[in-house]
This record gives sequence, C-alpha cells and structure tokens, in this order.
Amino acid sequence: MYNHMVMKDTALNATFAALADPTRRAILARLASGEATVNQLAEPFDMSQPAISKHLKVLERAGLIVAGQDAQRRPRKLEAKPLAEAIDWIENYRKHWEAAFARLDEVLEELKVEKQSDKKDRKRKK
Amino acid sequence: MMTENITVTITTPSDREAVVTREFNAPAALVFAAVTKADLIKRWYGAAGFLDSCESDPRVGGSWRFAFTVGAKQMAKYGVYNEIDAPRRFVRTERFEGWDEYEALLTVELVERNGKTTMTQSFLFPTKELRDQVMKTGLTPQGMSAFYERLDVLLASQP
Repeated sequence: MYNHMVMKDTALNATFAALADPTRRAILARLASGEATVNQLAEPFDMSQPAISKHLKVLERAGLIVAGQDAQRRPRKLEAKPLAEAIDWIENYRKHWEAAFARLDEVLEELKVEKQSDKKDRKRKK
Repeated sequence: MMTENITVTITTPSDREAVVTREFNAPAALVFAAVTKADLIKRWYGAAGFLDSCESDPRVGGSWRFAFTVGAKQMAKYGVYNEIDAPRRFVRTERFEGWDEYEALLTVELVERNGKTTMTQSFLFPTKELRDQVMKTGLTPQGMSAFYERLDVLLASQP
C-alpha cells in the first residue's frame, strides 16, 4: 500500500512539474479542443520544432498526452486521467485536514499530560 | 502508524457546503480549547512557527485573526464568533484579508463518547465556485500556490 502511495505521488509530481510551464499549459489547452500534429502545435509559438518536441516529451512522460496511431503525422491527444487525478479535490482537501489534525493529535496528547501534572501539583500544594 | 485508523471524512451535503469530520482521542473540553484558544491553536495550526500571530476571543461577538507569511506575502484569515456553546459547538465567520469574495460560515460541533470526541466542521460558502476553489487548494496558503491557479486556467480552457 505504501509503495502504491509513493507511486501515485511520483505520478502526481510529474503531472505538476509538466503543468508548471506556460508553454506546456498552452499546448494542453490547444489539445483540449482536439488532436494536433507537432507542426500544428508549434505554429502559435515562437519556437523551433525541436523545442516544441521537448515540451511534448515532458507532457508524454507525465502521461498528459499520447501520440496517435497515424505513423506519419503522429497527432498528439490529451489524456484526461492524470489531470483528473491532479485535481482530485476531495483528496487534496482531506490530505490538508489530515496533516493539520495529526498535529492537533499531538497537542491534545501534550495537553492531557499537562493536565495530569497540574493535578499532581495541586495535590502536592494541599 | 498510531493514527492510521483515524481518518478524516469529507462530505459535500450541498453545492455550497464542505463538511470535515474526524475523531480525536481526547475529551470534548480539551478539543474545544485546542481549536479556540490562541496559544493552543498556534501549536497545531500549520507547521511549527507557521502562524506569525494568532488571536482568538471565543465569546459571542469576539473576533479571531490568524496571520501568516507565504513566500514574501503576508496574509491573514479573520472573522467573528457568532455562537459559543463550550464544549459542544461554535459558529464563526471566516474571511481573508484582501480577498473580498471569500466569506465562509464555519460551524463546529463536538460530540464526546467514551472519552473520545468527534469534531464536525461545516463550512458554508457563498457560491459553489468558491467552495470548489477552496477544496481544490485545501485552503492552505501553500495550497493557494501558483500550481493550482495554473491548473484552474488550464481546466477553464477545456471544453
């Protein structure tokens, strides 16, 4: 189970790293409206085709896009699943509270001990 | 891990709500103190030293304010306690300085059983969009990082 979590985290990190770049986000936005070839994707950017190909590789490795079947054109398509995982809202929200509450657990344990020693102090004073 | 079986439950009973439930191995009075007293909130809210300052006056009409720094940016959450019924329940408003559209009403209910306490936090937001935004970021200042904002832009561009 632990391994599974680590793997999932690594996959998410790859997704976020891929999304951190504005050109790659623009490419994804373009692919959201339908598949496109490398040439078509390079068009709106002031960038060489190899530079665009580099970005495409990052997106492919992150599993955000896939190359189509057509061997000549190899049109790229958007893969929605990793995106959906990256924005698994409820999971993110739950993680946030889990972390906060783990710290609250510690404080509550400390408070129990403090309360205990308060009582002892009072008894001693009597 | 000791806390492995203690889990946070999240539900969305309506479009504008998010409800967070968790059981704590402590009596309600302790939990209530830990979530309403400034010196105790400081000890768990955010990682160590995360809060620059923390004020909380848990009385009806009393105000609260948590200030923190994200990157170079100073931020603060603040609001007013509308209801206090220690150690069972409190209601407070929540706003962010400099984020006018954000406003939430937080209702916290504590139920103690056999020395353990179930805390239910119900957040009511003005709109579904705001609630979704909050849940996406986890509403941590870290969570409000550029990453998720960028993701929003990207997703908004999807059909």
